[in-house]
Amino acid sequence: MAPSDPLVLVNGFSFTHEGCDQPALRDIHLEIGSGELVLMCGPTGCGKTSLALCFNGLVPYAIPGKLSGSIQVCGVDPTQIPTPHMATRVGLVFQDPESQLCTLFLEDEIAFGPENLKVPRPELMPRVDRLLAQIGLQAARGGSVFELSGGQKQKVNIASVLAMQPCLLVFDMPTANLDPVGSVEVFAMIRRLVTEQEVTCIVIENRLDDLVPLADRVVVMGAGGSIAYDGPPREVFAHGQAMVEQIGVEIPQVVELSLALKEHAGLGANGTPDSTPIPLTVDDAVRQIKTAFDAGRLRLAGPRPAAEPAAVQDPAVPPDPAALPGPVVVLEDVHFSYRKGTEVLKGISFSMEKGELLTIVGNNGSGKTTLAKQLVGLLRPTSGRVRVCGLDVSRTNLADLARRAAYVFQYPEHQFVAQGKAVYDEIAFNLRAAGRDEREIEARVADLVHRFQLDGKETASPYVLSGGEMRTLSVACMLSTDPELLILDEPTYGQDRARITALLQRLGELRRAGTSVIMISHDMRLVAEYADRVALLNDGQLLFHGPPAELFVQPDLLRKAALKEPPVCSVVQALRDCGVPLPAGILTVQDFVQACRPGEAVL
Amino acid sequence: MFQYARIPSLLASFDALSKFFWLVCIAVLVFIYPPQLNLLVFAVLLVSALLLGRVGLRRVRQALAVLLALAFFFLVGGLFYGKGEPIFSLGPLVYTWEGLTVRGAAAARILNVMFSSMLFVWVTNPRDFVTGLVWLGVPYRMAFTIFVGLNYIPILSNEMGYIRDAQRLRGLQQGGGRGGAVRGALGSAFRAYRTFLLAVLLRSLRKAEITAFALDSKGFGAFQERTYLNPFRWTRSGLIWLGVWVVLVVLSLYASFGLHLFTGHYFAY
Repeated sequence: MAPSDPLVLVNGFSFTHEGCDQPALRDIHLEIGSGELVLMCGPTGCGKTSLALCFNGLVPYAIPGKLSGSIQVCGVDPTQIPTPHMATRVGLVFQDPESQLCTLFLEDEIAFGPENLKVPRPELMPRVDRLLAQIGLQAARGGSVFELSGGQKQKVNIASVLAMQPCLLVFDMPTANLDPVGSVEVFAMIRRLVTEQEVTCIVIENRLDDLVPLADRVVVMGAGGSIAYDGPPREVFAHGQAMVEQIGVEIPQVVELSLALKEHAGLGANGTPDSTPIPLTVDDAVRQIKTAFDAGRLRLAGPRPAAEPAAVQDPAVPPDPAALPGPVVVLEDVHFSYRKGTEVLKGISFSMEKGELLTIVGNNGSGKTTLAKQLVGLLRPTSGRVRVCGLDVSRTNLADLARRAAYVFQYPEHQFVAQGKAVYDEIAFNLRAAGRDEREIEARVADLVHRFQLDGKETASPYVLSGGEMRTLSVACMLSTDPELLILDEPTYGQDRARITALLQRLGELRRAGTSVIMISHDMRLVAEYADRVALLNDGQLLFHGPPAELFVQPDLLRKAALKEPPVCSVVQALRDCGVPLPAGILTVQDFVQACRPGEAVL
Repeated sequence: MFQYARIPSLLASFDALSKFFWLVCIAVLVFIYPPQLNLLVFAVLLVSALLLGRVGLRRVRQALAVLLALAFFFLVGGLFYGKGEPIFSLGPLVYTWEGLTVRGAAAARILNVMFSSMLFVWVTNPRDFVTGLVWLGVPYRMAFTIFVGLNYIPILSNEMGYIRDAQRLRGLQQGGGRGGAVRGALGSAFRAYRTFLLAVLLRSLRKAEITAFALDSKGFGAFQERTYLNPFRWTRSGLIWLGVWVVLVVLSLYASFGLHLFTGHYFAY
C-alpha cells in the first residue's frame, strides 16, 4: 500500500444479512485517508454497525451474508482474511464496555491483543505502561477491570485495541453508557490519537455536540443503508434541517441554533445575511451571535408574553400544578446501604407533584438507579421513608406497588415475560394478571399498539424487534394497567432523535392525563427540553433539586457531578458575559429564538 | 462465591500448578480415607482457608451453606440404601446405620472435593492457572476458554439480578407465583423460572456474541502460539506445599493398600 493510497476504499459495496431480503448496506462508496477522524451517524438500524464490522472482516467472517462490490482496508480485502489476522490493521471498540473485556485484570486486558499477536515479552510491559499512562489509570494497574467505572472500562477497551498498534480504529457508539464528562474525555482521547499518533479513527455516534468540533469529516447514513451525506462537518451540517426532517438524526445544538436564527431572523451563520460558515462550537456560535447583536441584525425580543396554556401546543408541558392534588412521590431522609456496607444513598429528601416530569441525573455510580429502585420497592431504605402514590414503600408489597408505579428498565428484553410469544401477549400479560376480561384486554392492547406505533407487529416476537421498537414495547407493556407513576431508566439509550422525540410526545400525552414521569438520563438536552424538575445526585447525595433553568446556570455544580450543560445554555451564559442581556430561563433553541427578534439592519 | 478473592496470603502466593496438583492430592485422599479422616481433612481445609488463604469467615460461611445443603441431600439418600440395622422408618422406606455411614462417607468426600476446589478458585488468579495449563501443554485456545468462562461469571450474575428485578416488577416471581394472585402455585413458579431462564439465555447469548467479536478483533487464535506478559513460573513455597501433600498421599496409599488400614463398608458406595 503506497503512503498516498486511501486507508479505507469502499466501492459500490452492498451487504445483505443471511436470511434477509433487504440489504443492510446498499451501494456504499467511501474513501478515508490516513490520519482522519471520521464521525459516522445515522438513524437506528441504518447499517452503521454493519459497516463497522466489515472493516475488520467480522462481516462475513462471523456474520455471514451476501456481499457485492469491493472493500479495501489498510491495503487488504477484509472479507478475504479471518478477523484475528486483521487485528494488527483494524481495532474495533464496541458499545458495551463490559462484554468486550476478555480478561479480569487491567494490565492483562491491555496485553491480551499483543500477546495473541506474538509480540515478544520484553515489548509487552513497555506497551502496557505507556497505554496505562495514556488513559490515566496507572494507579489501578493490578486491579480488576470489573471494579472500574463505565468510562474507565471503555478507556481500557480503547487501550487494549491500541496496544495492537492498528492503523485504523473503529468505535461503535463508545460513549453510550457514559456520563457527559466521561464522554468528553473519551472523545478528547480519540482526537489526541489522531493528532499525535496519526491513527485513523472512525467513530459511530448519535450524540454529536461534543464530537463534531473534533471531527475532520462527517458521514451521514440514511435509513436505507446508504450514505446520504459525506464531507467536512460545516458542509454536511449546512444540510442540517434536511438531516433532521428526512433522516431523523440529531444535529449539534449550535448548528440547530444557527439554522433556527437564520430562519427566524434571516441571520447568516457569521452574523450576516449570508450563510457560511455554520458554527460547530459554542465559541463559534457566541462569536457569530454577538457580531449580529453588535451590528444590530439581532435584538432582544423584550419581555416574553405571559405563559399561555402551553400544554395545548407542547405535549411535554404538564397540566396546571395548582389543579393537582398532593405529591406523588415523597422521600424523607432516605439512606440506603447494600450488604457490603457502602452507603449508596445518603439522606435523600424531595417530593414530586402529580403530572410532573422529573429527571434524575448524575455521574456513573452516583446512585440514580438505586434511588429509582426504592420508588418501586425493589430496594427498601435502610432508614428514612419513601412514599409513592400515597403508599409507604417499606410497608407495601411489590405487586401492589407495581400496579401504581411502573419501571421501564434500560434494556427492554430484561422485562419481556411472554416467553417470546408475541408483542400482543407481552402487552396483554399484565392485564391478564390483573384479571381483566379478554374483550377489554383486546381493546386495550389495540389502543397501545396503535399509540406506540407498533401496528402490524402484534404477532411478531418481541425479541426480533429493532432496539427502538423493543424500547417502545417495554413502555407500552408497563403502561397497560395505567400506572400513576412511570419511571424510565435511560430511555434514550441507543435511540436516534426521531424515536426519542416520538417517545417524549407519548409521555407528554400521558402527563396531560395525569401520569407522573421520572426519567434517569445522561442526555442534558433532553433534560433541558422536557424536565420540570431535576434531581442531581453525586456520590449518593442530592446536590440539587429544582427546575433545570436553575441547574444549568451552576457550572461548578454540574462539573462536580461530571455533567455538562447543553450547548445552548453555554452560548447564553457566554453572551451574557459579553454584555448581551439575554433573559433567564433559556434552555432550548426554541427559547433562544423566542428571546430574539430580527434587527433593523436585516429588516 | 466462585471468584478469585484477590487477597494477599500464603496460599495465594503459591504457583497455580502446585495448587492444582494439591487439589488432585485432596481428591485422591478423600477417596481412600474413611469418614473420620475425611472430616479431619475438612478441618484442615477450613483452617487453611481461614489462616493460610485469609479468605474471610463470610466467604467460608456462604460456601458452607451451599455445601452442607448438598451434604444433607446425600444423607437423605440413605433412605434408599435398604440394607443394615434400622434407625427409623418413613412409610416403606427404612433408614439404616449402614445407609447413614455410606451416604455420610459420600457426603464427606463431596464436601472435601468441593470445598478444596472453592479454596483453589479463591486463592488462584485464573490467569496464572491458564498459563500453567499452557505450560503443561494444553492448547492455549482451550485453556482460555476456561478463562473467558470465569470472566463471564460476574457479568452473568449482574444480568440475572437485573432480569429478576425487571420480571418481579411485571408480577413474575421465581417460586413465588404471579402477580400475587396464585402465590406459591407450582405451575406459575415453573412458568416464572422458564421465563427467567429464557431472558437470561437470550441476554447471555447477546453478550457472548460481543465477547466473541472482541476476542476475534483482538487477534485471539490468529497463531498457533502466543506470548505472555506473565508466563508461568513454579514457586518454591508452592512446591514445598505440594511436596508435603504428595508425601501424605504416598503414605496414605501405602496405609490403605499396603497395610490395609482403611477398609470398611463405606467404600461400598
